Amino acid sequence: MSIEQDILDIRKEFPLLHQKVRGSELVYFDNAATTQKPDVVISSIVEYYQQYNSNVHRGAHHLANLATGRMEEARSTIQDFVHANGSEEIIFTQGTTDGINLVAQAWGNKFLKEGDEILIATSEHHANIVPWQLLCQRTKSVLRVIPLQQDGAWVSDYDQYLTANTKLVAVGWVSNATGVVHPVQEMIRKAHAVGAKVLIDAAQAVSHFSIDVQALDCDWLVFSGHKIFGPTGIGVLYGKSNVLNAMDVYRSGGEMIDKVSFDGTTFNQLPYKFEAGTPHIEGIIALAEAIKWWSNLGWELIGKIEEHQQSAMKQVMQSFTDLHWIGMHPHRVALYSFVHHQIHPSDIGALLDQQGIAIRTGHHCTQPLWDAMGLNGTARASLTVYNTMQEIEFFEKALRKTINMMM
Amino acid sequence: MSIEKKQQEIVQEFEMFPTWMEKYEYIIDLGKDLPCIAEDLKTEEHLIKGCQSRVWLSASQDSEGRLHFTADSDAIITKGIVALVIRVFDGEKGEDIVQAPLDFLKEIGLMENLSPTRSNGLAAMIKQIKTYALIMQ
Repeated sequence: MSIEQDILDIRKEFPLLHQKVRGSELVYFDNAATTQKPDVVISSIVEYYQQYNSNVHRGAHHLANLATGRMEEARSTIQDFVHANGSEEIIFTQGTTDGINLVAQAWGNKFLKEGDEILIATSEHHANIVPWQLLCQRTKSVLRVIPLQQDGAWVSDYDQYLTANTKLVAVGWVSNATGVVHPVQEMIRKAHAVGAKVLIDAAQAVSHFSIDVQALDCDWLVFSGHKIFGPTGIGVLYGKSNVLNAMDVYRSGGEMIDKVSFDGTTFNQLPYKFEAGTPHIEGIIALAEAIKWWSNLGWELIGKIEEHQQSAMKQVMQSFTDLHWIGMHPHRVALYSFVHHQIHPSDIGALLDQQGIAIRTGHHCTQPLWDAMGLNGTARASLTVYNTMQEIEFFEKALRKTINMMM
Repeated sequence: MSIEKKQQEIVQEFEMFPTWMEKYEYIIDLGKDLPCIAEDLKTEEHLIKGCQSRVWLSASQDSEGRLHFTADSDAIITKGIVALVIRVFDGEKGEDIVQAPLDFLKEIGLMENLSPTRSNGLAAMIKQIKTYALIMQ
């Protein structure tokens, strides 16, 4: 069967994609911002509310047991997906940003002190910058930034940034701005050699590579559900159990306690220690459905589709001599950031939108990267498994029409 | 010509273009035709906050108390929309500008066609024009 047919089959499972926008068939190329949801994910949310909505863990009735069972099954599904050692290492968060904030507060406040250093890269998303800036203000530790190469690739002299003062390396696996993949395995190994902990922001990686946290040996890894075909408002923080155990509590309230009295409170064990309040139950269950759906596709097919898309996009890129494509490092995902020397990205976005094509324009929450590259932002097209070759061809035509109209 | 009349004129012009691509083509042409703002006016003071693209807007008042606007943007569609708004308000008195409703943007369907960031930017620009008008009454 042809790859295009495989893509069309996958596409059938996404009801949202079958609609017209401003008179044209929708071309959704904004998957790095959020992915659309397959039927199984949508129906799992409906099923939850129609059949077993109830509060988890505390209930003494049939429905509560059902909901609790499904939620904890979901935790195991995600444990398997990231190859964690135990399900208690999977903490449900609101998303990537929330996971990073959790670590900055619960680990950073406790363990960082004056003069300690946190290392990030220029290309980090604001979510992997600002929580560390605030942590540095609180603890008088220092945020150091690794500049990247001009094509967005990782630096060759990474070692020189690692010192005895480096306590944390927090890096994005795949840049949401350039699509470049960073060599996290090596980064983690070298950081550990100087005694630093490592947090991996896998928000953009999760829908491109198989994740094995034990092989990576990262201390934490965070991602968002909505970027891997799951719902918004749910995300995952993986942490090594000994690291999570050593951390302070984060938010406090119900579920995360062991015993509460007015003389003091003791806290629940992992993972509940970090999950205060009623969780996003249907979000957790639907995220597990999304991950099961994704895993069923299989990495072989996912890889084939992406390779196919990347080679088609390569031809598109070559056909536009007036566009500058950012981050053309060989090791990248199907995410394309580009600028025209005379046309503002927002104009490109607006005219593509008129033709039914959804892309993103602006700074993509990576302002320091654009400052370093001397740009004000880009237009960004990001693809995933349901994007067809026909859509890529239409994108090329629409983009050409857009540029011709502006010039 | 009154502010209202100028708006009606714009609405009629837009009716000539059946598709949005054609309407945008017209907006882009307006953007290209709008004279650029003097480089020394491209300052932080004249920059309008809340736009994805940069928009500069400056106002002056003539001896009869009428206001004149110059504006620029690094995005051509934004510049075209700015040109439309300026066409409506340029040469009018401060008190008239403050009171005037800006119905044509809705009537030509531009507000709902714009992305939220762009319509926020447009709202910020209109607010800035009205602020100038209030000060220069």
